[in-house]
Order: sequence, then structure tokens, then C-alpha cells
Amino acid sequence: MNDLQTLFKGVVADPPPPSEIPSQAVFARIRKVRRRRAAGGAVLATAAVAAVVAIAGNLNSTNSQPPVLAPPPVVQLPVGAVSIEMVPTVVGKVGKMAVTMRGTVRVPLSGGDYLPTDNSFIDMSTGFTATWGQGEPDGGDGGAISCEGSTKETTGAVTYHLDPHAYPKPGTYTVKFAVKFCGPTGDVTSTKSVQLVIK
Amino acid sequence: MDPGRDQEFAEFVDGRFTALQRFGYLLTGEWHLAEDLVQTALTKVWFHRNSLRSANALESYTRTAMVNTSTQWWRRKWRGETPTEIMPEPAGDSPYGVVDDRDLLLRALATLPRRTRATLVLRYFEDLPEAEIAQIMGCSVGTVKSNVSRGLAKLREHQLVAGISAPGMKAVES
Repeated sequence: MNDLQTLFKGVVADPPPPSEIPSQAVFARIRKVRRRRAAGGAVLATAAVAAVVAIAGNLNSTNSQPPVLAPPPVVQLPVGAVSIEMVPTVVGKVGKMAVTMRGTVRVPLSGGDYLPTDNSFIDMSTGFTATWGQGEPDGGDGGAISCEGSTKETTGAVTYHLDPHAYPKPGTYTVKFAVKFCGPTGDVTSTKSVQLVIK
Repeated sequence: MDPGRDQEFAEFVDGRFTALQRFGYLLTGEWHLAEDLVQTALTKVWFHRNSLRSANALESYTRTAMVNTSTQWWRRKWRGETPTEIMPEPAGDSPYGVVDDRDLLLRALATLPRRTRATLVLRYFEDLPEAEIAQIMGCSVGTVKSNVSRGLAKLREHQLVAGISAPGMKAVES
């Protein structure tokens, strides 16, 4: 008869040495996050200034009415379906892809509990696949999570960067992305494709 | 940054890294992911260090961050692989039996929901009481008990751990 604790201890008996000095690696990450947050704040501040300038430019006198901005077009997607925007970049023969997903989905369950919704929206997905039009596909799954029994909804957006893909030769390639989120009756797959020109 | 507190945090990181890495390995099943998980969790903890009640809470808080990160992590990336829920039968006696056993245990663990897996690791590797596990997992003691029970039942479906014994649980003869 096995003892679970002994089995666990056997499994972790020989950890490899850390690839870097742990504290240095952690503080390098901390500095990176701080820089990213600072850069994000700067972008927001710039955007706010630009918005104020744009609105002020529409005011001709003290009697001017505030500009009436047309509301953005609303595309009502069913729960579980997400809108996908793909922004490719090409460096040499390497393709990169930023995929933005937004929508309202059911919150998946893990071990009978709802996943927390205060993290990245991508955590709500039950999986994705990406094909680059050449070579091995890329993909991921959401782990041991399930849509079954979920009644809780969440709305969110995320930009996910696919692993870069190196093409062997020039050409026009179709990059396809499919992602699954939970809807009222299970997984809902949303897809999008774009063309990538490799010179 | 406060140099004194950073020094204290760095000492904690260097001193406890291997123990946390082991815990991370049981949560993820891969050493490099375990290292990544520990670093990610410690980075999160550093940004919340002011809300810690005491320095003693650091390790507990780090484990909470690791569990939360691992259960939410979108890291099960694949490239051209075909995932399967059914494990192949082991090949029988082997000079690499110990290594095989480790592999089988990890594969059995991988079939569990992530929170159930984390609960089992906290209970039987870290040897934590159910109340502390409930605090780390952000759930009730009852949920911890049912996760442990379901997790052990699921593990026992696998050959290596069919007759597994675990303190506080009724053992099943193989």
C-alpha cells in the first residue's frame, strides 16, 4: 500500500537548481511590472490630454454646446461568443499576432467552484487553436475547467499574443484563430482569420 | 523601494525558493513551470506586501498566490500534441521503476481539476490542516473535505495509487 505523502516527497526529491538566483529573478520581474505600469499610466495620461484637446477644439465660444459624439456601433453577440480582432506584425520571415477578444461569457467552473473573474479575461476561455497557414498549429486549453452548470456571466476583453511563427519561405499565408468560451449551453467557438504576407 | 524590506524579502525568496519550487512542481508537473510559477507568485506578493499582517504571513500568502495563479494559469499550451484523458497502461517491471512511479503519479495528478489537485498537495504534501487550506483556497472547510475526498477517489482509479493510504481517509486495499 502506498502512502500519498511518501509518493509526493519522492516526486519532488530532486529539484533542479534554479536557473537564476531566485531573488534577482524575482526583482527583475518586479522592475518589469513597475515599468509596464508606469508606461500604462503615461499612455492613459496622454490619451486624456488628447481627449481634452479634441473636445476643446469643438467649442467655438462660451455658448458652444458640448460636441455630440456618435455612439460606437453596438454588435450584440450571444453570450459565449466573442468579437476577435487580429493585428499581425511581420519582422523578416517571423509573423507575430496580437489577438484581442471581447464579449460576455459564462464563467467556467473548476472543481465545482467558479473561476475568479478578477484576473485576465483569457482565463475564462476553455481553449484556443491558432494555425499559421504553415507548420505546426499553436494552441492551449483552459485546464480542467467546465462550462457545465455555469449560470454566472462576466464581460471582459483581453489582448493575447500568439507565440511568434517563423515561415520558411515568402508567401501569403492565412492565419486562423479559434477560441472557446462558455455559453448557456456549453462551449461556444468564435473564429477569425487574417492574411499575412511574408516577403 | 524600501531597501530594508527588500533585503528581508530577498532573503525570504532565496531561503524558501526550493521548498516553494517543490510545491509548484506538484501543482504544475513541470520544473520550469514550477520556477516560473514561484517567481510569478512572489512578484504578486511583493506588490501586496504592505497588506501582509506580519512577516510570518509571507509564506502562507505566497502559497495562496501560487495556488490562485496555477488554477487560473493559461499555460497548458501545446504544439501538435493530442491530449488524452486515458493514460496508457504501464509497461510492467522496469529498472527505471522509481522514475516511472513518479511519472505515473504526476499523470494521475494531471487528471484532477486544478483546485482539487492543489487541495491534495496542500493536505498531503504540505501537511496543512483543513482550516488553513480553506483559508489559502478561499473556500469553506467543507469544500476542502469534499475536494480531498473526490481527489483521492479519482487518484485511486489509477494503478499506482489504487491502494493509496492517506491520513484521515479510509484506505482502499489494492
